[in-house]
Amino acid sequence: MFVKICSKSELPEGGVFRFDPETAEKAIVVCNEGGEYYAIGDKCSHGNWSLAEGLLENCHLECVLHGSSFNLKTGWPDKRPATKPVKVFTVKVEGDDILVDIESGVLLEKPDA
Amino acid sequence: MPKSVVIVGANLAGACAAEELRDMGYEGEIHLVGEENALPYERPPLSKDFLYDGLTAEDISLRDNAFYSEKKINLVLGSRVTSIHPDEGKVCLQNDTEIAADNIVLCTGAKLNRLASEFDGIDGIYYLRDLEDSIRLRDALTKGGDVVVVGMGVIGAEVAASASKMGCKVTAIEYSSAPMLRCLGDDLGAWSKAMHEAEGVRVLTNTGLADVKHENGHVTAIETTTGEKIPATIVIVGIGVTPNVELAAAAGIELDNGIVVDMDARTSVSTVYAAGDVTMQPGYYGGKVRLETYDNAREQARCVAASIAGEEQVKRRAPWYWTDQFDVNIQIVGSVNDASDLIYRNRDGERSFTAIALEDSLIVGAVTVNRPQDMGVLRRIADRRIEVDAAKIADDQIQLRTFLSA
Ligand SMILES: Cc1cc2nc3c(=O)[nH]c(=O)nc-3n(C[C@H](O)[C@H](O)[C@H](O)COP(=O)(O)OP(=O)(O)OC[C@H]3O[C@@H](n4cnc5c(N)ncnc54)[C@H](O)[C@@H]3O)c2cc1C
Ligand code: FES
Repeated sequence: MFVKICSKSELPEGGVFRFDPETAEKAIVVCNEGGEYYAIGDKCSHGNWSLAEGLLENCHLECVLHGSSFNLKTGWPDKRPATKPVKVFTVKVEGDDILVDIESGVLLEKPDA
Repeated sequence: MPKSVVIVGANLAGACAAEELRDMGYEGEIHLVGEENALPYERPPLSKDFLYDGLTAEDISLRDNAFYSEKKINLVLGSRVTSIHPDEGKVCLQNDTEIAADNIVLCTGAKLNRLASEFDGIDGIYYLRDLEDSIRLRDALTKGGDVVVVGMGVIGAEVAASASKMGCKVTAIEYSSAPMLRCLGDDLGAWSKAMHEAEGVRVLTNTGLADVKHENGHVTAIETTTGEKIPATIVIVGIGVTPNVELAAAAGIELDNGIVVDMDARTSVSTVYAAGDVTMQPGYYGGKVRLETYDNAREQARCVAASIAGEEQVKRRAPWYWTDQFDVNIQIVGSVNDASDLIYRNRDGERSFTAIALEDSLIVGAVTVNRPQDMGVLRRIADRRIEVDAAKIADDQIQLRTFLSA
């Protein structure tokens, strides 16, 4: 089920937008990395922290609590303490709207290095 | 590329180095040799939730056994390396076995400083570095008692908070003028003292340990350098650590309060690398530094792996760490120690604020208290050496993130 998260103007390049359907467990963070939009689960897989508080760099979102950084394409952390991935969601753009299929969240297999 | 790498010390730096080597496509042998019996684990919880939240050894393992076999990392636990021989390309283990090593990585960490030997063997004195230390301490704190913490560095301050949280009556003595003085400087050190006091910890600064009183082999009290006798059934000592440099020393590797390494984590012997608490490295702000932090161990391990695997080095970042005490998350980037003036922003009471030290418009240090989101941005400003205006960064109306695009 695609849901409108925000408009393009609310998510400029390098921007991070947190979307909270109802519970923090289900929160999603949508990012604009170089004009491409990505959405992953908002809750860090290490501790109970919102990834949306972090900054975006090189297609990674860094958790501000202990510094694990998550790949937006795969959901996998490339630094401990987190060792488990977060879910990756499908995003689409319609006109000026950014939509996420909030039921599409999947944990992907770890890609080969 | 080297055919075989032996990593000495199987904790954070060592295990990260092994893992990163495989992630970078290194295909040779990796031997990860550690003296402790437990699978490599996270130390940060040992002074925090491992004590009061009933975590298990499994909960804090970096990886399970299967991971190491899958990655073809030969994990040798409960085994001390007794000497290294870079010129002969081998290391020797305590049971007289040898392992061939084209490259050796020293991740031997640090050992605890201890009280004078006259206090050895007194029941009720605790130290905290390893998993086993934490299990013993947890058992004692769970039973409860009068606790005295000797030394309010980061670990002492964390343990004081945890013991207090577990219902113990806690007195902390600190030789210098404030808790965590080395990390926080005077002003924030005073803040930290007040914070502990508000939580019911009695904090005595400018106070050292003069004597430990005991009866029937069990501690009963301590005496301070100011002449006060404080009843105690549990004494927790946190008076710093000393890097484990013996192997490097015997191999003739350059030392200076740690194993001296360059920006590629290479020691003075070209086939030997080192990472983590044991290293003395070029400082981000100049000079040389020895860092005893999680982030440093993790980053330097990656740096070692990149050097050995011939990969590009990751960009260096400003030194950063965190500590949790009571309900307070404190994060520190750089050092605020030498700052004459701290700039405060986003202050919302005593448990939520950000303090910044500027030098010539550059951030040389910053501390956030329950504002990790600010630290995320401040680290980037420091990492990129972005110049900021003092008046502007003091202005709460101006979002920190705007300094990144300036
Ligand atoms: C209680 C506690 C809480 C902490 N909390 C935080 C925190 O909140 N935030 C933070 O940033 N940092 C924290 N730290 C610091 C962080 O855990 C360390 O910086 C990190 O563990 C360093 O990793 P290392 O691998 O360099 O060294 P170590 O963790 O010391 O590991 C070195 C290993 O080498 C082994 N070894 C040594 N000599 C030999 C030998 N000859 N042969 C075989 N094995 C050998 C040792 O047995 C040990 O297992 C904490 C540390 C402690 C102790
Ligand atoms: S909570 Fe995100 S890294 Fe620890």
